[in-house]
Amino acid sequence: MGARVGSGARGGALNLLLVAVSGAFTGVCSGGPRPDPAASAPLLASHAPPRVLVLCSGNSLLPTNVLFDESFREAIASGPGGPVEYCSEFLDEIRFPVRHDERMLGFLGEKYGSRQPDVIVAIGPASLGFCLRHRPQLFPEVPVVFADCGTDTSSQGESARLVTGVRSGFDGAATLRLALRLHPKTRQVFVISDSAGLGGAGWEPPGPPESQVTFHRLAKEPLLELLQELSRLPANSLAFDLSGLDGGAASPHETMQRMSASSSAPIYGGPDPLVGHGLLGTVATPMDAIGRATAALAMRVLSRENAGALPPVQKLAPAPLLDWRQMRRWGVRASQLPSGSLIRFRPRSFWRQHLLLVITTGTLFLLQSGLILALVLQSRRRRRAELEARLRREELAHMTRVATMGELTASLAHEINQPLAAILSNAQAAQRLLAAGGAGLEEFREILADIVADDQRAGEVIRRMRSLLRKGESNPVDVDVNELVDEVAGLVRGEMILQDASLALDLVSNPPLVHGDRVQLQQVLLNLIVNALDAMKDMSGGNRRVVVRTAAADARFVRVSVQDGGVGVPVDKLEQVFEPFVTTKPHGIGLGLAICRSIIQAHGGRIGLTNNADRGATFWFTLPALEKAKP
Amino acid sequence: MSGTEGTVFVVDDELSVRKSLGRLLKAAGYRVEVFASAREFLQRGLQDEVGCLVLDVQMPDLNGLELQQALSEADSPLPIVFITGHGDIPTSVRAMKAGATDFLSKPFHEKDLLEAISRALKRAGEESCGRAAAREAKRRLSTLTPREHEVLLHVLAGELNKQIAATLGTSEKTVKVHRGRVMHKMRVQSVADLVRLCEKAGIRLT
Repeated sequence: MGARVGSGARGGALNLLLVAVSGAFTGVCSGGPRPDPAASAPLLASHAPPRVLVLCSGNSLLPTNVLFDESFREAIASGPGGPVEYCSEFLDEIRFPVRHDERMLGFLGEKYGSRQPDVIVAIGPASLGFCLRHRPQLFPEVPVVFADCGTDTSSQGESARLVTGVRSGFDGAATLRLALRLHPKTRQVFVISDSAGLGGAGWEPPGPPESQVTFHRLAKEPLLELLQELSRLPANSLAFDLSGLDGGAASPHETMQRMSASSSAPIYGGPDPLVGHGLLGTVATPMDAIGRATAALAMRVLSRENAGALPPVQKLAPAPLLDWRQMRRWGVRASQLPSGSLIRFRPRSFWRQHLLLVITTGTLFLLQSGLILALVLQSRRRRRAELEARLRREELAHMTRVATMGELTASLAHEINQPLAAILSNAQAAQRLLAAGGAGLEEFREILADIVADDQRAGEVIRRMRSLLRKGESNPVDVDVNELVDEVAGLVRGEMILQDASLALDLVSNPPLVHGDRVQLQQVLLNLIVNALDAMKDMSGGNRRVVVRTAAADARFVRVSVQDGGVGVPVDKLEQVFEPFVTTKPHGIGLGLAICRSIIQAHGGRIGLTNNADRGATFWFTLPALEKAKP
Repeated sequence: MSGTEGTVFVVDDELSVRKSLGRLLKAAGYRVEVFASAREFLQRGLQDEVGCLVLDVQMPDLNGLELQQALSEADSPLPIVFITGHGDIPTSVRAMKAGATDFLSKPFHEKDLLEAISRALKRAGEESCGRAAAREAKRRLSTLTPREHEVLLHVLAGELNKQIAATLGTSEKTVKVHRGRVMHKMRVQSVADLVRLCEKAGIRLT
């Protein structure tokens, strides 16, 4: 039955194209009766996509078919033509040889009778032979595009009309040259072939080159024996497999895998599809090139208008093809290969494989590292700046402490001289009593007790003074503000007397503890009291009164205030008095209150002042209360 | 024992100082009274006793200098030995100008203190004599009649009887009688003695 692809089918481009990919084929085609175009069945709906029938030799698992199918379909899909209906059939003539042609004829005739393919693609010699033999009955006038995996074909004649294809090749001589080049120490070459002669596949080994390489034949059958032979191949030898070219094996790739696994020498041979199943290398046309070229040809056939103008047969050049894994196994380096070699199964380098990932990860890593570095640097800078600020603050605090103590010199001298005077007088009184005799022991005991007490008092003044003058790192401890006030009051007692002023303490009982540096807090209080005294310098004696109060401001803060009855602070200076170098005193440098503020702020508190309703001002500061109350 | 008569009054707000001074001065043989403040001392009052004051400069309420001024105004100028915990020059100058005998900085050696007290008591004794003489002169002066007092002033001015009589509009003889009575009542022999006595009594000569 013939699908009609007549000249009348113009504009349809729907000619069935029978592509017979065929390996080496000889003139298998037999001329058949040409079908009458007029008798052809009318074409199906013109809008149906062209049907491509791929007819393969062997079965669907053969590497040849798999590789071809892959590249062919990809090329068709990415080609310029529109959608194509793709059908593939497998002759499977090796496994089921009995009445093979008849069976296929019936099957294909039945399957494609209603709508013949527009082109037939024949893969392998068996397929091409089948097509040429049976096209006249089956698909008359359907063009055939073959893909040739091996031997040259020049079969022409009537049966070859409307046949074109891609001829490719396996170059046995070149393969052997390649093998010897890659293994220069080779002494023996073992040729594996099915037939008794080496030329079973249409190939004769080249005449022995200048080297002393000898050739031996290994029979393919029985396979077990061959495997044993292969496993005993001597050093500096090669195996050269020509058996795959026959196409007679049902699964040549599996055989090759077993051979390669057993072999103690590298195996060269052909054709391409066996590279990847154990063959180290070959010189043959790559399967993907064949698939692409065949597809291109098929598309051209499909698009042609005149059935008589098929494009000519294309010949594809062979190229060295090698299996990277076998190269590794047999120690062949890529640098040894001739230019133009194709290496298969070479793992893409890590860089190529994961370039984007690597770049992204690297960039992220760099960014992150940069960020971390920046943060670390920033944190370090900040720590250093904080440390510097603290040191500077402590330095300044110490300076102003010394200055304040300098102002108190007179009263401190007074405070120390009092007990010293008492001690001296007591001692001299005792001397006189001793000299005079008659004084009781009790009297002396009393005198000595007084001396001890006075000495302790003087020592205490000096200790307080020294602790305030001491320069050192802040040493935060739990502080009772009432104790703080008492200590400072002890320091300024003399000053109060000297300045004819009075100091009153109004202390809340059991205030919450605060956490801070005792000396620095004393300094703040001392400064505020000295300021209060200064503010009252020009007043009459009776009015010079300073009141120090402690209070629990609320649950979270303790408040200490120093109230004077002086001149108060001018309203326009209220905001500024805590700024450095702002002073209302004729001789002040204006650092005292600035230091006080920085100390209080460093303790997490606040400092401020208000003018009193009647006269004078009240300076106050708050400090965060500790949770635990004083035991 | 020092042999100088008189009481030493110690005024110091500092308990330990006044206690030790009291001890020392008693051991040195003085009669001592201690006071914790200037007011306490003023409340005690002074009955023309011979004595001296050992006075702290810096005291709350009424300080040493203020007490000195108060005493001076009350015309009971006790000799004062100032003691101070911290003596500055302006304060000591002020104290000395106001008549202080000595100005000692604490701590002081007993020798300095005792010498100062001794000087002060000696002056107190002298002043005490002076005050007694003045009182006697004033008493004698108070026995004069107004007319005699009038004549006295003219005599002190160095006028002759005739001049005085002319001024007072009386006879020279009458003036002579008055003058005799004045000399008698004042118990002096010469005009020079009369002048000296009147000075003690506080009459200022013009």
